[in-house]
Amino acid sequence: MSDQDLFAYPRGRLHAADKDLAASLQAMVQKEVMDKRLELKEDYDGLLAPSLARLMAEVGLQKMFWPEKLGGEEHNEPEAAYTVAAALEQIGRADVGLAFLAAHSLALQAAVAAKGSCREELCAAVAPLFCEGNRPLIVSFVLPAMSQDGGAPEWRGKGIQVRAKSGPEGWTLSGKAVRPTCSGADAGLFGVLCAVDGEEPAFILVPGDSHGISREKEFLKTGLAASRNADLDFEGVKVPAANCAWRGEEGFLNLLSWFYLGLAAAGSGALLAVYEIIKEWGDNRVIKGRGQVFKENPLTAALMGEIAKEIAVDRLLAYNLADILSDPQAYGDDGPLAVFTSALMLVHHIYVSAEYTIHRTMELMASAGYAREWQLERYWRDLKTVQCYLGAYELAKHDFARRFYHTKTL
Amino acid sequence: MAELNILVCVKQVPDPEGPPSAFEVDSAARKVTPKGIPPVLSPFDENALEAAIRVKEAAGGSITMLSVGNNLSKAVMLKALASGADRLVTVEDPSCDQEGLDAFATASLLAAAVRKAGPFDLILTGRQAADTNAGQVGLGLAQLLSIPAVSVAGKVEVNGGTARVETVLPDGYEVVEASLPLLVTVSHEVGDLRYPSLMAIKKAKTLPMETFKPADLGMEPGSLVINEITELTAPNRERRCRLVEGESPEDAGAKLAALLKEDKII
Repeated sequence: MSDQDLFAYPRGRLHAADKDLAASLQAMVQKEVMDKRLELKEDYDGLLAPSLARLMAEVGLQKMFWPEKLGGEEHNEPEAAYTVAAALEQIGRADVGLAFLAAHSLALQAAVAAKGSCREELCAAVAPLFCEGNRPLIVSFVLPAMSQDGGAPEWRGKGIQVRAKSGPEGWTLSGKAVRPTCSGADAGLFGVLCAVDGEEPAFILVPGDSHGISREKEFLKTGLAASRNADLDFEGVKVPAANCAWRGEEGFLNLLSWFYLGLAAAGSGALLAVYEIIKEWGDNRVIKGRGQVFKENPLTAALMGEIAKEIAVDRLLAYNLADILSDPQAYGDDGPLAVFTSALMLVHHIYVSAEYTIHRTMELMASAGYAREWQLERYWRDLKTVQCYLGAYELAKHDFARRFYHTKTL
Repeated sequence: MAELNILVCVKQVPDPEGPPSAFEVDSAARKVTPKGIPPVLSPFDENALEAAIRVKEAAGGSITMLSVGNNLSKAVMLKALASGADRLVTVEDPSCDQEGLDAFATASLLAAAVRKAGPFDLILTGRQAADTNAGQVGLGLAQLLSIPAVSVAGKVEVNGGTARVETVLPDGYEVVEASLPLLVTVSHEVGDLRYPSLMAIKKAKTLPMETFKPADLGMEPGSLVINEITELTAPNRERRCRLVEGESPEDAGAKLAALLKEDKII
């Protein structure tokens, strides 16, 4: 039994191919990313870009859901939620930033090309960007956010950053100082939730090289080195009518639910890495004067036990979200809003817990906890940055209140 | 020329990246037992498979993987198949335990399997196995099949009935052209084996796989030359500390460099 398997997950629900893919990814990221960390640290061009290219184009994560006739792998049954969880957990274990980028691509694919809800016209328009050639396509979202624009139309308490108008030649998008979720400097495709005057919002796919998109200077962040983010301006960006993935809330909620699954799995993977780090520490660190290794001391053992408990629970929660998405009917089939709310609750729970867990681990490891050589602090920075893009927890609590207390004014 | 038939000979070994402490040397039983180390494809054999995939991409054809051993891991073989091979042939039997077979016996079994499952135009092997590092099986196989061999290749190309091989030398490389059929031993300069996609992983299970016993190949287990290990001991590591002193730091550095050169460390 591997150390990872000590933490229960529904391995019986995973197909053999899912397990093989996870094993292959585990070996790949160990060799390509984890073994090179001290050598390359956060070198985007030397470490992260080649790894991202291999994951997305060579292993083919960016082709997973698309129909075979369009060059994809057509792995698009609802059970693919388990594939997403198993794959992103392994990638997140090596680098949360890489998993964060892959989560965007997989969520979009699932929302557009999943069996049963596959949008054929849209697939035909977009799949070639993902499937043709061997270049990685970085996907980014422009989601409602805490807005400085007081007049911005709201979606669930947050401001929609981009406005769109429909015309005979398609859609025209406008927005100033728009902040995408990731890779504003590099993304090849943006999924943008747009406000439409007097109508329901539209979720529109915008190729990154569209005329009218300008990218601001890449900004400095404390984490997620794999994402080179920058603010964007959309000035009269025109896209064909077929690029509108869906109108209204339902499809968007489905997209977010799959996105949250990816983030949950990335968080679970990061925690597995944290376990490996604290285990090595506990096995080898000798308490001065007593000749006793850390894990044999009752006090430190209790703290290590608590860390393991948090990791175990978070992993179960991440796979539980995969289970919900693979078979929503089994959970009552209350519609996309119910699934979205569950996904939002689970992913926030995992990230709050992960932050607490890594914090405790850093404290336990004293100066090694924040030393770059031990890698631990990197996970804290990465997960904290993902939390920022996940959105304010206080606003998420309002989403929970809407669902459970049927609030009228939030 | 008809479709190019490429054969890649692969060996399953304990992961050479495993820590030395995970290998238990049992002097009494004269065995080295890896503890908790997963089996993998020998890394140079992975390079050979990558070379074969590149040849196939450029010149077409099909790739057969061939392995001899006992208790071969299905997962290891499927992963390699998924990377780009088309067919798997194994020779499996307790008498084929890698620890017992010597290089000639392994080459003999491979040669018999090649005659049964072939013919092949191009045979690729790793330059040496990661467990024994002997580097004898590939060239032995060429001798037994009476075909030419080129060793330690960094690049392999096929054009019609001719192969162009860049062989790795200590100070550069040499280009060799040879007609097919040909055996080439491949070095790591070729590049790492690619990672399989999900679709390839799914497809690998449906690819043709055949397993032979030595008897199916006309070889009786008793006829195989078996290694006899007469003595096995763990290396006795001695640690000695020597202080290098000098009149100045530069002088001490020069003396240290001279000592390191003397011990052939630099």
